[in-house]
Amino acid sequence: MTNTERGPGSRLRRFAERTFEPQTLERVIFPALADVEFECAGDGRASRLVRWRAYWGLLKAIALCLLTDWSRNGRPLAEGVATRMTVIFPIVIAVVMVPALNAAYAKPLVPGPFLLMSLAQAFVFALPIAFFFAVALERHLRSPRQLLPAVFAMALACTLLTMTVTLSVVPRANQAYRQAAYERLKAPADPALDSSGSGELTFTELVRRGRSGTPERERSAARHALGMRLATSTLPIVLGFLALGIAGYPWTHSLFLGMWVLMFYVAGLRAAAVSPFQGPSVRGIWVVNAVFVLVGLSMVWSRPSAADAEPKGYIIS
Amino acid sequence: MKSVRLPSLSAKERIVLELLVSSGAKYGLQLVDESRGQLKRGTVYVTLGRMEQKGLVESHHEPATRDADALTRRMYRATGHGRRVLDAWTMVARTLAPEPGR
Repeated sequence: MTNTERGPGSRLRRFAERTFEPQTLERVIFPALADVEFECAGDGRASRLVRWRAYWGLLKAIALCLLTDWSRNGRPLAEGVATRMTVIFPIVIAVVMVPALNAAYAKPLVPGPFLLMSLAQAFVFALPIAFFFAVALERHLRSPRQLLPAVFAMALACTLLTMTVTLSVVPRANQAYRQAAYERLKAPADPALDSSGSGELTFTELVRRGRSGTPERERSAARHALGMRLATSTLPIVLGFLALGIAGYPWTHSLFLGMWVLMFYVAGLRAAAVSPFQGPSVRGIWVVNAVFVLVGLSMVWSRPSAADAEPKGYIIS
Repeated sequence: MKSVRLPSLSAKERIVLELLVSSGAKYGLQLVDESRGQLKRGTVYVTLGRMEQKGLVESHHEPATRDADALTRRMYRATGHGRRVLDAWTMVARTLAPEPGR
């Protein structure tokens, strides 16, 4: 067993070697790692506090390098993915909106607000799906060093956007729809129509209710709703890395691989459900998401290189 | 007269150069320890990498003394260009400093 296999920082070293440009490795990561190895591995004198400080410093250096590498290498990839997203997003949102359009024309109670509410909700699902296809269709992917920072930054941006929509736009759209339905029906005898449901609570209202709502049931319901919305918002990160994992394979392989991976993802979420009649628990979603991000990353690192994918040909003498 | 542009020098780069000029070549971690909290270990290597690109410092690996697979530490020292840039910035700072009693 060598020092590299089990020494301090060895896992971070393996991660860095696969992630960063050689120049960044040589100038920043390796000097930082060498100092950590020296400080922690010496003669066993390093206390736990020293180790933690060393690792924390190293992690900060790695995070800074991710940013600098992203700005240097990831921009062309990000531009390619963003271009595809602008084409794919309207198509996906049109497909996702089909049921809402059918419902609006079948029951034209308040079609305007209903369609706006449905559009906000469709956005939450359409964005990660469009991101998934945009990454999967980007065929000029090269080494993970150029991909990971770019896709991670884009996934983070999509997640923040989804979070904003889930925690602010969708609740307001739901409120507007209920108000419109209430005005239209004018049913004062039905007080249920005039009281807001959990789907109408914005982030601040959910936090407030989660802290001081009464009774306890209302408090736990608000916490559950907040947890669910935050977990749902991480969908672009999961789908982004899964798409990245399948993107490097030849077309036919990536098609089947993508279908299988998505089916397993849905099966994982189903397995995380508390009962067959309920959706997955919040903790279950986090666990399944984390597992599938790791699956995507392992696919990126284990996929065939460009040189392996090219036909070798024959030499005829 | 041909104009000469003074190379930029951030506060952190200046601290690094002052330490390297005053007491010779050092490792990244030594710089953090001797800066009395002015340099952080999370950013010092990024700063040193940038300074090396700008030609303000140069580095070499220490000879391997441990396991062959272990990384060797990197020792940094100021270049002639780095020393001149530090001198120039020190002079600028002195010139622009407010005189006492004014």
